[in-house]
Amino acid sequence: MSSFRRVCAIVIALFAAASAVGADVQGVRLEDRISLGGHALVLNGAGVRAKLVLKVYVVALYLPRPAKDVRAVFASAPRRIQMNMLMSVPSSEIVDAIIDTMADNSSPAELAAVKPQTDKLVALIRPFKEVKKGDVVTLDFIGGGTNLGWNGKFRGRIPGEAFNRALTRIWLGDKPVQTDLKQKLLGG
Amino acid sequence: MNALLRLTVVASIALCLAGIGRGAEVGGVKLDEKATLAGQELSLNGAGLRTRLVFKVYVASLYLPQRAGDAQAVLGQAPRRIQLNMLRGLSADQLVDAFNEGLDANNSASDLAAVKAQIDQLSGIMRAFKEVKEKDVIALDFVDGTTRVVWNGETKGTIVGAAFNQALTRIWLGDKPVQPDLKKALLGG
Repeated sequence: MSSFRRVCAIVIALFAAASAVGADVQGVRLEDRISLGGHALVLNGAGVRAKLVLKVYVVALYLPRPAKDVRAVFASAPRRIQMNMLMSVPSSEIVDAIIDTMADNSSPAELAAVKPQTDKLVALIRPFKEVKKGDVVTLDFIGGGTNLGWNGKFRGRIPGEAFNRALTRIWLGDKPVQTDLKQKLLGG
Repeated sequence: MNALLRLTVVASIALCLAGIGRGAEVGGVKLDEKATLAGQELSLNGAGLRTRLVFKVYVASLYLPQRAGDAQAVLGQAPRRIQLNMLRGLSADQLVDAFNEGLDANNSASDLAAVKAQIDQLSGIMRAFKEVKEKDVIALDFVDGTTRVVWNGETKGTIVGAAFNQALTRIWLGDKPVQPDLKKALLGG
């Protein structure tokens, strides 16, 4: 093949490749042209839906008397934290979320002191595989311990006030899972 | 007791009872104002919605017979396709919620009311998916005055009416699109 013919072949090959390429958005290959109802359509544009807000659960705090701050909440007993699930979440994700947010809101010493109880909570949650949309989970602090309830059924008890406080700080601590949620739970 | 007084008393009692039973409503969940725990009565101190942000939901693309730079020019053409290539899994409920929020934000109350039956039909079609997975492809094809909902190449339902497809298209191309930069990208950037 002469060098001229070789160049021609390369140009043709490149041209063919270009016309078959289509668009590539976020690793998704999109055809430049499609056929729909016997009509040829061209790709007008494409982009990424960057984020979406999912509704995970509604959380409610029940107390004997109204409280506006964490200290007043901890001074009240019995108390209930209730979660009404708005979407299904695998129990592994719940366990990760509990461990991460407990760590955000407790000192290393506080965490170490309630490690056996945290392990027990994890052991109670793991067998469920997932909590489903519509499920109601309750964490009741009564008589110095935390009762885990699932759709109205008692699932286990974890002793100790320090543990319940560490758990409650997930929502009401200095670095709560969601700031506006902390305000709402405190009647704000 | 005269009739007016009796009516007032009955109405007051009824209102009181209604008040007691009312409770709060957050994120569509009805919460009781009171709970009984170990024989003690507790009151609802507060309640809120836990939300989670997910990123890179889908790639949306728009196919038309001729290129169009604005929504008007898009809606003047047929057939047309809006295609969603999923970048992550979502439950059908999450997908339906996202569509309904986009529909509500971009259509007047009367426009929505006019296509309510079709919106319900779309919700039903998508709920039957149960969930969509990463790499799934959802196409909304507008052909001959009808919207076809196509999931991974299979038509899962058809919804009649140009007005409905316009309302649907405004999710991405309306005045309050789900994402302004996505609207721009769909109109050729």
